[in-house]
Amino acid sequence: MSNLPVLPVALPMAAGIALIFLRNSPSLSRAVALVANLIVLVLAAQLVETVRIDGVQVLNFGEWPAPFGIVFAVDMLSALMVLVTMVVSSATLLFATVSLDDARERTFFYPLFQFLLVGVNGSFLTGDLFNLFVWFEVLLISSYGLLALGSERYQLQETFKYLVINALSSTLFLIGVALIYSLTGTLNMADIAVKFPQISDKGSAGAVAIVFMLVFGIKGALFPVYQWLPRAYFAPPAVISGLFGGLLTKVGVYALYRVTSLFFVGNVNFVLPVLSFIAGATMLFGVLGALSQFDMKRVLSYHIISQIGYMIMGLAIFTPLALAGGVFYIIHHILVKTALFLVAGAVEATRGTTHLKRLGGIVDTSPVLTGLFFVAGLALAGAPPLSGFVAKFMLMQGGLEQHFYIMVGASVVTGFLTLFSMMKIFRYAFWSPEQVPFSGRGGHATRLVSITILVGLGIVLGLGAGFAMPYATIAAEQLIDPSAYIAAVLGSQAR
Amino acid sequence: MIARSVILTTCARIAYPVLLLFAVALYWRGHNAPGGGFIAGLLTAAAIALRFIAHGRRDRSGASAPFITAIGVGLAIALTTAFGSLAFGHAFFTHTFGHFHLPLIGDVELATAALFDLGVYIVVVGNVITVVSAMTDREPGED
Repeated sequence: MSNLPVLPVALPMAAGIALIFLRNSPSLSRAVALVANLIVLVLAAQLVETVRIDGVQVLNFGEWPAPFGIVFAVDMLSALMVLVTMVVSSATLLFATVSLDDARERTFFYPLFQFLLVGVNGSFLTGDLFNLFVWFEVLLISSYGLLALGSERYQLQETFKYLVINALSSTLFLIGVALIYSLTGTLNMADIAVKFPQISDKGSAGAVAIVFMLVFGIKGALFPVYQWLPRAYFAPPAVISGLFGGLLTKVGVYALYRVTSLFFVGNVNFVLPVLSFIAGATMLFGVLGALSQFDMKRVLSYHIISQIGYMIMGLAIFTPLALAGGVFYIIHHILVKTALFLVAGAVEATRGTTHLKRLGGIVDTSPVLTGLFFVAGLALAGAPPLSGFVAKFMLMQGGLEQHFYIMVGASVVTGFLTLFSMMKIFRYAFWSPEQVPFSGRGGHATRLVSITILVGLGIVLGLGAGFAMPYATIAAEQLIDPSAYIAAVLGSQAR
Repeated sequence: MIARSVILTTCARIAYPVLLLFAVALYWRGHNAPGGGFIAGLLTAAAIALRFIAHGRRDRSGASAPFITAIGVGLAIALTTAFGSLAFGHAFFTHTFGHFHLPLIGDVELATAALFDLGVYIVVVGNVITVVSAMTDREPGED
């Protein structure tokens, strides 16, 4: 038994605790946080390779055997999510060290950041349904703190709404967990996967599916429950909304992938058709929302919603090709979307606003930033040869093979509208002459470095798709046939 | 300065040590019976809060800082016990226990899980007092 699966949770927690004591020394905090992040990044890469070579990794906490104890079960999807989490969080942290004001740095930004990672990684790694609820709470409580940090009036107002809607969805989550427990008598996800088909009351099984779709729909900002997202993500500084926009909704998407593939496919026959409708509607409504906005951060926030539609599209089609496309899309999206938010953050830091009508001429003052935005925007819209193209191509091919013509049509329209809205930002903020005379400082080079890392990875994922694809394919195969996951968790009883 | 209630201060003076002792008892029996670090921490915090209400706080400025540090200490203790099992080649969070003969008390079961619970206890006390201080660190009429 290896303890590797727990380290992406335990080490950020240790770092977070250390950072509580170091809160009055921002320079030391920065160093400790960055070093801890990089160590966990290396461990996460090692975890991905271990899963690729040795298959699903399981850790029984306290050596209590499954299904009685709590397990961490790591398949390829979990490992990839942890790896990409550590990549974007390291880049965001680097960006934060030069962007945050002193007050925010001293009021627990770094501890909260690490505890957020504890919650996110824990959600990806756990193999226990109730434990998943607990990790969700850990990440949510940290996110409340990060959203409210700075205590500006608009922030507090939006944080409160965010808190209320998440408390509601967490309550529903708990109700769903209780329902599943009453039907199957277990909370271990692999064990539930074995017992779910044996539930005689099909109506209750359907109710469980509805509750979980609603819960993870709210957390992942799916149609029709996405309205909380754009305002909440507009409120905090761009470095925090970048981390949230890249990561947090994807935890909901991940959980939906997990419960749908383990419990519902084959047992509750309305789940996939409903998800395909939701996927199409999420794409279209999200992108239409983006078109009506005239602020960089708000446009980007609405695009998060529309792109979550693509991820759900992969899940709804549920073939190896489409699921691999969906997994690829999630990873591409986390990298590129965070990069775009960080560009917005760099603009905000130098110009003091992200409103398109008050910006302009950034191409003259910082051509590098303009280039980074251009590439990231094209990647988001799905232009070849960037990462978004590969992911969308796989999703559309998978959809056409299974005759999902309406959904594929919706995704094509969404792609064009995304390109349009990226070009709108580009034209107003970067390309057009200055609307308000700007006599400011240049940007900070460290910011450009962190954005370049993310955009560069987006390019590498696109050009090197042949190298990255086997990982996504393994993840997709494990989702379609969870028998290896189940055997790895429950087989350890014998040990 | 708010006028203090004589009844409240007198009761609080008597109740405070009783509550603390009861918290220790709860913590001690918590391993195999209802109780434990969480509930003992809540009770201790309630006792401290009662003293705040009855006697007021002498020094208001920055008084919650040590309690925030206490949260960190408690978390560190709890996490260290979880990591401890790694040093012996066991899975994360594996606990052990043994029977020891202590002078005066006799045969006692001591478990490493109790150390984890101690961490929980400190976190709960630190947390609740920080929240209580945040809500009470205001003069009347101060906005």
